[in-house]
Amino acid sequence: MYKQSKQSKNRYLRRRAKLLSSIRQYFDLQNVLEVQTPVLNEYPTSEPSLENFIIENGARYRYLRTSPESSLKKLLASRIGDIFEVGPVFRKEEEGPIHLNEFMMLEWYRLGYDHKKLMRDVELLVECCGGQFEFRQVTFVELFLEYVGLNPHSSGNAELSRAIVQFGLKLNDTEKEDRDYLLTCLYVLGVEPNLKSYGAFFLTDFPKELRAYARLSNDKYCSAQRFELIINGVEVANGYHEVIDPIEQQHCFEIDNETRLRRGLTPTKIDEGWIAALNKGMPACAGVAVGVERLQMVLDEDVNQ
Amino acid sequence: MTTFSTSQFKLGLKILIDGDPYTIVLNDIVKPGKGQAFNRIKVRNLKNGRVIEKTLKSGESIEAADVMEIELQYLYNDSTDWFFMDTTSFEQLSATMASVGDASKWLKGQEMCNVTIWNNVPIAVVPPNFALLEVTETDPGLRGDTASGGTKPALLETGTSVKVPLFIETGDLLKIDTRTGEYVSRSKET
Repeated sequence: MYKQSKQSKNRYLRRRAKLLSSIRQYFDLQNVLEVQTPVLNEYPTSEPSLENFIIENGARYRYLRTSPESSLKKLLASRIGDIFEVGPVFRKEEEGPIHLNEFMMLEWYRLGYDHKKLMRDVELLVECCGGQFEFRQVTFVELFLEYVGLNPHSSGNAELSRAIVQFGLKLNDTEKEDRDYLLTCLYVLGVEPNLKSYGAFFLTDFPKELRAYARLSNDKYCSAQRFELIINGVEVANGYHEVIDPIEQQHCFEIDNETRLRRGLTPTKIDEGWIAALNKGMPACAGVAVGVERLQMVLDEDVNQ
Repeated sequence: MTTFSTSQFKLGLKILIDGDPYTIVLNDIVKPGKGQAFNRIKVRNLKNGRVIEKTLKSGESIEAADVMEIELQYLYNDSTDWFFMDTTSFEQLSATMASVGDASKWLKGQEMCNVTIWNNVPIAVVPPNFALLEVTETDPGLRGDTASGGTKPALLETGTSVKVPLFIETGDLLKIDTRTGEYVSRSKET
């Protein structure tokens, strides 16, 4: 993190220890159980935009986790109750001012919560860690209409492609039909550069193509029940009202693999244990992942202002 | 044709954008939530110094610009072309007025300049940080007035006008900061 170079390493580590202690204190008070799950996994991630580091073990491969999601969901299905984990995750090809190949992820799940209730939970956690922000909520469509002039739910692929080309990016024919990609492009080109001035806000009501593993709403756009917490332009958390229906989850995995094929990536073997866990009866829940280094960064900036 | 993939991007890399040579001054990864990665770069146009921002798909390749920076000695100009020499090979290169740009205000001959060469043609010239130039014309000096802080224009031997303190006289040798175009001091060197 670029903040680290400005502080002494020791001071940075002391702040980290304080932050972890605040996180544990919060969940202790809330009766959320801390768990530890394997870092080395049998299955790679199916998400098309993430890439695992692969470890060779004799004739078999093992994958360094990109998130603890799969392991935590298996625990949830075993009726363990509310849980959280904080630990390292690994993502290949991610290195930059606010990206690290290895970073600390805090992920937790709340039974019976939906994404709205979980946003409040995230606010309380950030406050418990010393953050003093005015949290707002902004919908995906509001930002798109303001900065791109298009509705991300209803505008056609051709319209989205034209707008992207106007921003100076070239698209091939496959990309022009890849709606998830088109929306991401416009977000990066048109929306994201403006978010630094927004303070702390939850981005909500994602287009269904960007649902990942979130449930879809019954509204006219079937928007995804997913949110991101963005503080001073930095994406700090990503949460979902989780899919618990095994058939729906299987469908999400299949779409991931179709996307991978379309983008020239290898499809991944589907994590049967994940589907089996949902079949066993997954409790309704909402879950969120927080990048700990990024949280520390925005908290430090908040203190330094 | 050499190309660089976004994963090879680093500060100072010289690349071609819309036919012009640029140098990378900032390289950032942008990767929203569950989305693909992009590189957001800031690049400086090596011909005119303008900085622009550009977003590329990660993994995309971009053509390299055959650019190098070398030290050349300025010799003379014939008002359309400016001639420079490599002091080891004695090879001469000519630059257009447009590529010499503001450096022309400070060059009188023999200065070692930092010249940016693209496809063997000079496209930018940076003069030494300080130039020693003689005043060819200015209003008579107010002798002893070194404290009032007033200024007046003075014409230098290169034809450039600078603001100087009131005590400066025609024939004085001045030290000028070429980066700001400001008077630094009167020089005793001749």
